[in-house]
Amino acid sequence: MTALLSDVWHLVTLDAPYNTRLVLRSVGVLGAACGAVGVFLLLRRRSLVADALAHAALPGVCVGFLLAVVLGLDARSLAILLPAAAIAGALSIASIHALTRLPRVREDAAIGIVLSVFFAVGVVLLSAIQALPVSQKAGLNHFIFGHAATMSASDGRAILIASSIAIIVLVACFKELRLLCFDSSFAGGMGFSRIALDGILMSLVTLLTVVGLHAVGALLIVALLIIPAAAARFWTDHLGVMAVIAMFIGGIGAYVGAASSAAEANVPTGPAIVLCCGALFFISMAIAPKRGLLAEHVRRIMTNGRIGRQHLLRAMYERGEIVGNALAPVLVDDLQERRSWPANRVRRLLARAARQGDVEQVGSGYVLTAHGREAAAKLVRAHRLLEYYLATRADVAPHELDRAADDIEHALGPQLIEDLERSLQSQQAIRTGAMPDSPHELSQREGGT
Amino acid sequence: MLASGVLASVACALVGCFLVLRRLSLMGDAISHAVLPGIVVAFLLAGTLRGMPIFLGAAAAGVLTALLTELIHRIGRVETGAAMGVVFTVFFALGVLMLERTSGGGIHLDAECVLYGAMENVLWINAPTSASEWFTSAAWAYFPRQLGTLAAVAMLNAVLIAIFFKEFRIAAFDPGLAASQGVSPAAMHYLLMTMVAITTIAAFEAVGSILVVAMLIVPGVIAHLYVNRLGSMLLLATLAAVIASAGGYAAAAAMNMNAAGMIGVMLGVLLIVACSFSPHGGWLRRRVVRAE
Repeated sequence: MTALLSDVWHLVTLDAPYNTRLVLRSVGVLGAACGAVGVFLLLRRRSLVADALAHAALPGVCVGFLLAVVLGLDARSLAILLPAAAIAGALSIASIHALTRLPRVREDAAIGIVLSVFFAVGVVLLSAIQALPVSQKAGLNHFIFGHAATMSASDGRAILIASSIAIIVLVACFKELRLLCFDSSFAGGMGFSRIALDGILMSLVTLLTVVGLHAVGALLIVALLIIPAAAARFWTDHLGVMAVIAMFIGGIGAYVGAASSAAEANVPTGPAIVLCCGALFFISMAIAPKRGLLAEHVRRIMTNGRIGRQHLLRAMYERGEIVGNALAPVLVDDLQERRSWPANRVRRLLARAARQGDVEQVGSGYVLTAHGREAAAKLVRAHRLLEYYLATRADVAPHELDRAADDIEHALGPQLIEDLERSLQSQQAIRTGAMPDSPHELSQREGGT
Repeated sequence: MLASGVLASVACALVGCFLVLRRLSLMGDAISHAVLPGIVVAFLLAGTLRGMPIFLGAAAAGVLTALLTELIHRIGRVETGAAMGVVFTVFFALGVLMLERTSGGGIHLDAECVLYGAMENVLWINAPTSASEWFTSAAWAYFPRQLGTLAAVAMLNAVLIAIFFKEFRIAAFDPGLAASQGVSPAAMHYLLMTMVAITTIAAFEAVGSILVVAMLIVPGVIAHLYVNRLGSMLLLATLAAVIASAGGYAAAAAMNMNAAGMIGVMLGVLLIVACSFSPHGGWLRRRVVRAE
């Protein structure tokens, strides 16, 4: 294991033979460019179009090959095969558009159809080519499986050029593409041609797919266009930042994957890269601070704690009002009755409130501290203002007021409370600064959880 | 051989109709890739490529794909298409990696065969040529295993759809209503995913993993362009599947080309015709209406 790790480390630090270095550098650059383009594809909800494109390139490659044979040119030259694949890719996207114009054909079906039928055409052409009495046909299916280990310098150059073009175009059209991703009809209204912008995006995808296909295979290209972008989504809400993060994830995933494949026999490059990117995706999904699962869980716990504290303080304050003595100790049973909470939950909430200095224990009961009373008064006041508002403006029946206010009061900010106060000035019960009476009877049992 | 193509495409067309209606067409693509690790694990455990273990492995991998996609979509809030893309590429990569690592163990799963299919390899040596020969044991001695599997799976799909016709229909058109009537849409979803996985794996050997997608989706889409009732949609899809596979096979045999590919091409041709004349906004139909 340590030997493998040190092998990978040697490769990562570029202490490797020339060809390995070429492969590592090329897939790293390709991964970064695919990551950035994939972000726009993801936000445009077109991730799987990449899948269709990657498969639709096969008939293009075959036609290019046949054309070159007929014209007597070098049938393996990228200068013929790449444009042919790109034309097939453009045709496949046009076909998806044509199919989705039919009201009964959904986009997912259109993508699936184009992907498989184009590929079928490719398979037929390939079988025809295999029957031809020409040489040079051996490497054609590398266009689908890819062959990173035998990548040539010209492949590397093609990847480098295509990736640079993709990044430059993305930077140059950043504003327009952002508009397209977030509000395409607004982009149309601003005078940008949506078709042209989608065309630019799809051309970049086609470009990367076509150069990448030959080097690393269809599966890998699809994975590099989808996975880093989806992983980057967990880290940020900013498009620019997201694109940069996706570039890093794609680049690092591709680089480390290729390095481990070079270090260990029997580990094919494509799958190794996909698995590295997949690992980065699941790590991002777990721990990313913005939308990761862990962060969401912590946020939910904190929100529940805040709501629990607010309910507790209000219940204690209103209990004081009912018995007519704000300083009378409140027992766990009293609270349980008022809010129909389980006893355990009441004790937990009380213990935490005591730690935070909101309440203190007196004998077998609890009383609000000065600090707690102040906070509770504010909460009760906000609750009642909201109840008055709902009663007068939203026609909520009196017996439903408490529950209705309960559902939304935790989201009220100070500004909203001020607005409520102002809009309720005409009401007798509301006098600025004072505690309004409850608009309904404070029964023994009320509220939900 | 012809029968394997027809059986595979009919089995696919039946489940494919529901994929099309539920807008899960790409799930067919995802599952047809993602079954690979299931097959490899089943092979490693059972030591054979025949019989039940492979189907169990494929079904497990298929359901796992659907589950994981749903999970990433729901709790990770990733768009369904992207979630599917993440899951199936990772699964397929895992499958290829395991295949490479265990290739010393003598597994006969050729990656090219997985992608392109080899229907021509399904041969029935000593097949009965006259009516009386059908009843001799010698004729059945070399009955191709794949053909039996395909027939069984096509049968299974037809029977399951017949039994659960009402449940499938209500879950396909209105999951909310289905839930209120006591039909669990989730249960129907995973039953469908299992059927897709099993069908994919049966059709795999004959037609390859990508062309399975054409067989799954295209007949359903063609039928949906013409009819409104689920029963007639299933029948029309089956008819389209039979025509395309018989026509494709014949064309391939005449021109000596890949049969599975030719069936895919034939399905594409049928689809273009269907799209042109569909009463629901067909390309040519629309033009005619406008001219009038």
